[in-house]
Amino acid sequence: MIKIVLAIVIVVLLGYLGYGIERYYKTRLKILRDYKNFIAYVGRETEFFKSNIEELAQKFEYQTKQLNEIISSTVKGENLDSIFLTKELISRIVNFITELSNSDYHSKNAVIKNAEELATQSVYDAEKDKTQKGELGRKLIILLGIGLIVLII
Amino acid sequence: MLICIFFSMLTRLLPTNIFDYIKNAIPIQKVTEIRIRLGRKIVVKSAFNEISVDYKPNENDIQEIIRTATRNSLYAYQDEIKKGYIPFEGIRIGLSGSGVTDGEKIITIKDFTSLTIRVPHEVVGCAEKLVRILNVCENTLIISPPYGGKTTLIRDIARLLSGKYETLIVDERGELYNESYTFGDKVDVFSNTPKNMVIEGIIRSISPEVIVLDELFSESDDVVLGEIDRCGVKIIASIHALGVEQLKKHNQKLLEHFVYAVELSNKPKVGSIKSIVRLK
Repeated sequence: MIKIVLAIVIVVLLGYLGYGIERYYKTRLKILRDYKNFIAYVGRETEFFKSNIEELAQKFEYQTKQLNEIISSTVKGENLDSIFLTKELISRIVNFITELSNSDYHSKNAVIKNAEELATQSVYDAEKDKTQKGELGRKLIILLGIGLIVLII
Repeated sequence: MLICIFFSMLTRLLPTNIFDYIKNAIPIQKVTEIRIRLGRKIVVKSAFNEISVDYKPNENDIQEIIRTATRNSLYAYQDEIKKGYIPFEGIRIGLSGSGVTDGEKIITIKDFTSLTIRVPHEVVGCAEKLVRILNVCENTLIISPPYGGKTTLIRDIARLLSGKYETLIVDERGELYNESYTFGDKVDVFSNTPKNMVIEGIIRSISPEVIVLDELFSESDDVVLGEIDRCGVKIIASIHALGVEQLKKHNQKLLEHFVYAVELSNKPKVGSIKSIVRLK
């Protein structure tokens, strides 16, 4: 009886851990896709409506609250960490906002293009991580759980 | 009554140390112009005098003001910077620095070295002296050298006329109209766009009886005046010049659109009416 209970507990815990890992990589991918959309939005809005950075940060329809928090705090001059993004990814976002604020009408296009390229690369890496680490991690952990159950029972 | 409604904006615009130096030198509500030059003493003007403030701004001070004025978005003010100014909440900041050119055109200004902050004032009633010519509402040109009080006067004329006539303010540089100013109920405003780009559309769509324009300058403005005149809409405008005689020498064609010219002087104080000339 104890073995069965222990097996159930292991399945639940490892299943939860597996799905947690997968969700972590899914969320990272979602944030980076959102960031890529934000850059495209900045490109359109600064070209045609000359919106300032505060307006851009406020009016963009964020798909993730994490990106909203990062961009809003950067515009206010505050630093914010996120468990879903590495320091390097956060500094890319911060650098984009800072460089955009210092660029004139002509140099902003180069800043936006550079940010788009970096964001595309980040999304690609995050997609790879989601498949290789997220989905595979979930499967492996569940398999590990099954293996443990077999050993226990 | 001289009312400065913009000093709270100055607190937001200026770095704290500069604001404090100015505040200690002159009551902030009396400030009409602040001249900030890299490495030189700040000059602050009021309607009656000017004072040197014992502080020499550095590059960071100027950059901070530019960043605040552009809301950290220099790119969004390219057209204005090319024309030598940045608008900030109804305040105009004139710029000097190093121009970047491409052939015949100025692309932008960089390495800013001096800023001229014009602080507009609403002087309700300063146009009452012109009430006789405003009652008949003829085309009127306000003439003065820079810092003569043209914008303040023309704004008050717009206030008086907008109580009676459908009055359209074409506020090219964002200085004439602000929600906190007093106007009549019949006022419309089209802001931040060159006059020659908007006149045809707005005459057709808004059907004004009077159009108020600030700071005529280029030859294209002469064409704009001709168009407004032909449409039967009255014009109230201002221009930089010493007086009618000087304008006759340099821009006779422009004067032909007007019935009255009001010459202003900054002596004994800014906005003093020197003379009213009937041109036709």
